[in-house]
Amino acid sequence: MKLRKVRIQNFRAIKETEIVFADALGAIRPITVLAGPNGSGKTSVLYAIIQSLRGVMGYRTSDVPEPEELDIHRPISESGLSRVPPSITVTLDIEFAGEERAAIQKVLNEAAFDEPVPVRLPELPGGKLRAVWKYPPERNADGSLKPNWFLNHTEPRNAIPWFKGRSTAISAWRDRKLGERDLLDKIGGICLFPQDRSLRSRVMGERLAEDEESTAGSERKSRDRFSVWGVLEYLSNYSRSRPENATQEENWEQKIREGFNGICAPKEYLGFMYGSDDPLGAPYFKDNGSAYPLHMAASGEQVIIEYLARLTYPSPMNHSIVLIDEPEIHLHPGWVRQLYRALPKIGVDNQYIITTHSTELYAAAAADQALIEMGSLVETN
Amino acid sequence: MPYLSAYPRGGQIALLCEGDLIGYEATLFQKWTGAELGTAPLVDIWPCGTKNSIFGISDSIGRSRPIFIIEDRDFRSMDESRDDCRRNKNDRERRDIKVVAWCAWIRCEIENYLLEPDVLLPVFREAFRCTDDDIVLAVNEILPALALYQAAQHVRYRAQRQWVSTDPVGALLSGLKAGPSWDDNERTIVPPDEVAFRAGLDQNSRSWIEQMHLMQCDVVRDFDAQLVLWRNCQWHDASWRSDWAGKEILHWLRVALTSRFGWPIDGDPDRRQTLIWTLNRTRREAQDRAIESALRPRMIDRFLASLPSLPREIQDEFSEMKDAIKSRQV
Repeated sequence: MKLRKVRIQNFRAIKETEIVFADALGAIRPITVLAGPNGSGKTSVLYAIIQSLRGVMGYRTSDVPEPEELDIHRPISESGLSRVPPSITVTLDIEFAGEERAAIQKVLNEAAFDEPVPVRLPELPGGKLRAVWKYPPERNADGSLKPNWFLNHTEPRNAIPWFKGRSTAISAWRDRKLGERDLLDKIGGICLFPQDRSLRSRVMGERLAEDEESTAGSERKSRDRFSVWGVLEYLSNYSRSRPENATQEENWEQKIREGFNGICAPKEYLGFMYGSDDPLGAPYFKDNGSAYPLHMAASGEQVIIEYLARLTYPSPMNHSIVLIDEPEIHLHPGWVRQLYRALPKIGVDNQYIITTHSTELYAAAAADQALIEMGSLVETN
Repeated sequence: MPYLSAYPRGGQIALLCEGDLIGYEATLFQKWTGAELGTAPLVDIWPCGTKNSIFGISDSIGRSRPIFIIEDRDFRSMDESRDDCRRNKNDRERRDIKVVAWCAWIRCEIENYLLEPDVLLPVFREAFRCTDDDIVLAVNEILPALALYQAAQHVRYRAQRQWVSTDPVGALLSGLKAGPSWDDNERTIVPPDEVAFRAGLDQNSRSWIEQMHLMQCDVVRDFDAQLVLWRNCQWHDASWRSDWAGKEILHWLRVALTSRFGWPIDGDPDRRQTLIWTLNRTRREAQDRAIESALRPRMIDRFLASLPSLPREIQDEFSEMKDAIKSRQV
């Protein structure tokens, strides 16, 4: 799943904007960097994308609060605050590649073979789908409001099931309804790495996170209450459950190790290790000849391991839209540069949309023709 | 775009090259050092614009951190560029500037490396939606039409090196048309008028030699000799890829292919239109700039991906640069 274009009206800092994520040849860029001063609307773009898709993608996160009236952009005039515009409108032009479309169709057929009414997928000419989300939500015939996450309109009509592929695949795999694991790897999703002011708890899993993709509301609710899905937990779970003879594709720890070492060398990620006095184990790192566990790692190391772990395991993000808000926080400029270079190699065919104030990212993206400037840091008149 | 060099710069080694902030060199080195060296050492790329600016910037930052310098060879021979680099390095080191290495590309300029078939063909094939044969045909048409321009540039550099220290372009090539033009009706490249150019060069050089009191200088003979060597260059020859100004070849190739196969309108891959190139130089270059910008990252990415299979001398050149930078790890 790729995002070709987003048009945002009346959302937070944005009155109206349109952002194209394709280059001059029309190819959707693997990375797009949104740069601009504070308040230019960079984070709002990421939030608008999440708000639009959180319902249909089965994606929930407390990192992006539910929309509310204050999210409606309200211009100021000479006489004070202007009238609140009628609504927020976000229009997304999304594309599904041929192989992904085939995988979604197969997953929905396999997972729903015992459903009374089979899922109907409308044709997507060229794999293109336009989705429109509005806030406040429309009213039902009985006068009640539709949910906040209700997607108002799609072109072609009734195309929402196309968004259900990944969440269906995840739950079908969990419930052993999916014949082939690689179907899951062919279907994209969406995820957000917010501006991370609570890094330690996210990484160490001290908070009851609510960011897992899931399907049924009841199932989601119970998992929210009882699960801890910090990065530490990811790595611990994998360490305990990894098969003896994991194939290269299944060896997530190795992928994380290669990614970390590629970005942070000469520091190394050793892997999840157990000691006689530490039966619970911990992820360990190495630098200058000494080893140290995750909780002793520098915040920059924790950020990198979080990216790698969450994009790699337990549900690898491939063909997905990955949103990262100001990744430079906690990172040395050298690591920011390395992260930019490494991202396209994490997962398969992902689309990264990144906001930044970093001159390193700014320069790298400008050289790649992947920079979108939202307002300028330099006054020119 | 803010002037990035105005910000405090990290990096343990500064790599100085020609070109601008988003030019071929800066983009290539940003990616290549990241992939090959990571952060050990962290290399900061300083695109300096021209060769002359490299001198100034090396003086201004070379005492604060080690510098690695790579400049265009242009139309110098390999031996000449090596001698120049050695002299520049020694000169700086005498003044306590820390020079890791001072070298020149083994090809004329960075764009020449992108003329390798493994780089050029896949990128242009995809961008222009044409076949390899279409690209080879265009190159074979462009090379003879561009030979005179390349020979003229060669002579200009030779004259500067052998007889004067300043650029003699104003004196030697003033009022002469060395470059080809484009015929939009026939969609073909039109070579310059060789007779008129040669007569003009003869006249300019006589006047120049007289004014400069140069006894041993025969610019026209140099030009004739070089043109004989280059005028029949075709795709399968090696010399144009190595010794011509690659920038011009790529420019005319983009002109030819957008004229024949079109370019997407507003970034829509399904709507293409053929471009008109009967424009003055300024407008032609402005139109080309957007096309070049779109292709540049793809060509750099392709070059780096193909590096292990490119000719041995290119692989060796990059290995030597890597070894030199790593040898000065801080």
